[in-house]
Parts: sequence; C-alpha cells; structure tokens
Amino acid sequence: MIAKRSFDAVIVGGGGAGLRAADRTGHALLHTLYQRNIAARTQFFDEFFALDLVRDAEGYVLGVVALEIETGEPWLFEARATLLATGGAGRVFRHSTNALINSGDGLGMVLRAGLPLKDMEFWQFHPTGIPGVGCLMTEGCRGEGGYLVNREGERFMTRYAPHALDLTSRDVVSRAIAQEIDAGRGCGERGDHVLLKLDHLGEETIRTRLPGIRELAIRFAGVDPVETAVPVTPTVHYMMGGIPTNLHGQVVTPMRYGPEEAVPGLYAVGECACVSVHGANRLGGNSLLDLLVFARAAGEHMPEYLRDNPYPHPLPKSGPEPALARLARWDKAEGSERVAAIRADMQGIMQNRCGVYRREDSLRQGIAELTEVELRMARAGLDDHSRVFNTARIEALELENLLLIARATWSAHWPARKVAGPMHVRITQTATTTTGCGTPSTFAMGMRSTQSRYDSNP
Amino acid sequence: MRFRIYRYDPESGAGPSMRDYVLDIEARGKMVLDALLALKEQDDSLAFRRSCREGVCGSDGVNINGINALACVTPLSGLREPIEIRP
Repeated sequence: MIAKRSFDAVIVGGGGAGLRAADRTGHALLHTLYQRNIAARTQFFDEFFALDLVRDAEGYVLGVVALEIETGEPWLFEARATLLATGGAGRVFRHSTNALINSGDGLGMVLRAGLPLKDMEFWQFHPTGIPGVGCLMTEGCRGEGGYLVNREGERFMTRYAPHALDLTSRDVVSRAIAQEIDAGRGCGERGDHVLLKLDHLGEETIRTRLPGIRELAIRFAGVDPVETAVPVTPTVHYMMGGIPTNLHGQVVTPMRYGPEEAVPGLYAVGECACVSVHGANRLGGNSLLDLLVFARAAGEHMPEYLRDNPYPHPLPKSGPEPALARLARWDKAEGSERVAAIRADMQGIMQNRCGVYRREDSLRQGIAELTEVELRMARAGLDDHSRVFNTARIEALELENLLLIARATWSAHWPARKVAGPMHVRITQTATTTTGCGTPSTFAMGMRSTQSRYDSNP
Repeated sequence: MRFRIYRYDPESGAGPSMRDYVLDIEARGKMVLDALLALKEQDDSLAFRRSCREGVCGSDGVNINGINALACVTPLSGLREPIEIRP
C-alpha cells in the first residue's frame, strides 16, 4: 500500500537543519519563517523522511516518495513543483559543526534522479571545533588572547603567521593545525587535535568575557578552560558545492540545449543548493544569503512555473518503484556489516584523506578505501525490522546518501580540476595550489558509484 | 554504566516495559545522548529523536531519573545508576 496525495507544490526538508546556538540571526529567521507558514496555513508533514524524486522520461519532476517515520508507511507526494531545502551534509566527515541530521538527503535524491552535483570538493573548515562533538570555540577566544599549542606545548602559529599569529584568517589557521597534526605533533591518544590555551587569561577574564565558551568547554570537552587547555581541531562547517541552481532557485543540468538548462518542476534552496555565489570559500554570515535572496527568488518564481504548467504530468509506470525497492532492501536479510561501523569508517576516511590538505597519493588511497566501504554497505543489514519509528532504517537510508556525497566529493578532484580552493590545499608532486578563482566548476553525477561520471564546465 | 530504558514496540502486541542495558563508557565529559547513541550501536531497535546535539533544537527531550531534560546537555557523571530514561 502506498498513500498518495496531490499538491500544487511540495517543499522537502527544513526542520531546523544546521541551526546553531551562536547563530541568533538564523534562529530568528527560522522562527519567523515558521510563524509565517502557520499564518499561511502551510500543511506540514513532520517526521517524514524523503526518499526519492519521481521524474518522468521528459525530465519533469513530478513529486517525491517519502517515508512516514511513525508508521513506516511510504507516501507518494505528487506535485507540479518540488523545492528541496534539505541543508548541508557535514556528517560525511568525522568532525563537523553540523547537526546529526545533516546527511545531505536532498543531494542523494538528486544524484539518484540522474542529475549532477556541483563543486563538491569545496568544504569549509572552521579551525577550532571541539573534536568529535564539533561545537565551535569562537574566534573570540583567540581575540581575547588565547593561543594554540601542539603536543610539545609550542605556540606553533609563530611559524605559520609570524605577525598575525593566532588571529590570522580561518583557512590559514586550519591549514596550520592540519600540518601540526600531520607532522605527529597533535595531542591526545590519537594525536588528532591541538590545544587552545586560555588559562593564562585568568579566571576573571574567562568568566566575564568568555562565559559561553567556558560552559561549552566544560560541557562538551570536559575541561574548564580556567585550568586546562581545550582540545580543538579543524571542523567541517559548510558545503560550498551542492545542487546546481540558477538565480531563480531552479535546479539546472546539462540536458538538451545547453549546460545550464532548468529541470522542470525542481527547485533547491539553502545549503543544499549551489548558486555558486560562495565560490570556493564562503565568507562569515553569508550563508543567510542563500535564504534571504535565493529562497525568496525561488518562492517568487514557483507561481510563474505553476501558471505555465497548469496540469500535472502523468506519473511514469515505474513511479515510486525505485524508492520502494530501496526501502525493501533494508527490510530483508540481516547482513554481516553494521551501518554505524560503516558510517564511522567513511567519516574517518573523509576526515583523514579529504581534509584541509589533500595529497595526491593520499587522495588516491582514500578512494580505494572508500570503494571498500561502499562494497561493505552492500553487505550491511539491520537487526530491527519493525515498521513503527524504525530509526535504524532511517540511519541506513541517510548513510546511503552520505556515501554518494563522499563519492561525489572525492570524484570532483579528477580529472576535472587540479587546483584547489582557499579552504583546502591540493598537493601534487610538482606543485601546491591554493587559488580557486576562475577555475572551471566540477560536476559529479551517477546513480551508483560504480557508474559515476564526472565533468567540468567551461 | 547501567541504564533502564522505556521501550515499546506496538507491533509486538506487548505493552511498554523497562529494559536494562549495560554500557562500557568513560563518563567524563560525555552526555546522556552519547550513551544513547552508543547503546543504539548495540541495539539498533532503540529509537529516539536527536538532531543538533548541542542543546539548541530540543529534539532529545527525555525524562532522566525523573527529571525532564535534554539528553545532549545532561552529563553522565553524577547520575544515579541505573540511569532511568523515559520518553
């Protein structure tokens, strides 16, 4: 049985993805948006998990298949226009500032619908996140006089930025920390972080100037910065790449007539979209641009599209079948591999080999490791086969999306682009590149990783 | 650490009950949510909501030893065992 509803338009995602404590503007936006939706009598389908887009042979997007988490029932939402607002995919890395739900589900849906993603190797790293947890130790810590030290207690920023020291820009500090960790001067059992030293500022300064940071450090790093240095590591923060769109939020793809032809009936806004305004390194505060400008533009364009396309296209025969098959796969046999273990390994590979520094040989080794993880996914199974609130199945479906995104990130490095953006540095045998300006964009596509195709546009 | 967690599977026909769990976890610096995530790796039928994991979104509001709290900002250390978690 599959429940079916018809809509003029359907919005997939939202629900506070990527919302963060220090981001009061975003918080206020979210509440305003929610209230405006209540006023407009928007019908929410809470606790639904979007599985796949439904697309016909002509390329029209006709809606989505989604899973009702509470009942385990699949639903088909038929709509003349679909807008994806599914947020980022920071959970593809081990250290991320993103929420646990940021698994890039809209990106997975787009890839499975045969559409490409753009600039997927461009991930922004914030230099000082608490390892594992990902909470940010704001730049204000270093602004107040805090500084970074390595395993040997050395204030290493004196070597990387002799003048600006710890107050230099995010990408420089991230690269410096990465170099220290790489050189074996990282701290902790696994040597995977450095320390942010604040205790010399005195309890009074920390209590009055950095109270929130102190609370976060005590809460999430288990150390009081008044006495002990706080572990920090470069932490994935934002995805500059994503679903390619034009200025109206319409998803674009090379189809029949040109390289950026609008996919009829499909829109994407927010972090999941790549309008390309952020280039290879988004500036602080600019993520709201995705919503305030381009989401509004999409909202203004959709009625036009609906007016020009007044009748729904018939659903293709296969309709929701691919999505249902994907769902059924997790209902069946208990596999030898576990979803949590595969996810942890994928996150480790991304973190270690696709981080701030990307060495050619390490990238190549990483893709071999990732291929192995993908093969393990085929042997993965669940113990829980219940229908009601089966979150194990949701996590498995999220991992399917994350693995596609990991593959897309990796593949964007070859053969299209040999240069890098400011947020990561590409190291080849002959040269190190750091500029991304004026370079071609990379596209990654393919429903299955083994049949992926990659391209660059002029 | 020992946990007692409220479980209910309406498909089984049985009513709700408390299930005991034992978890080998270093409590220092860890939250109740960390324990729940680790327990879910042992028993993937354990279902709970979570999202931001830093006390903002409110998804993981649960009752811990009789007190309503967010699991992601409730430290494990200092909690009386077995830690009783209810919806």
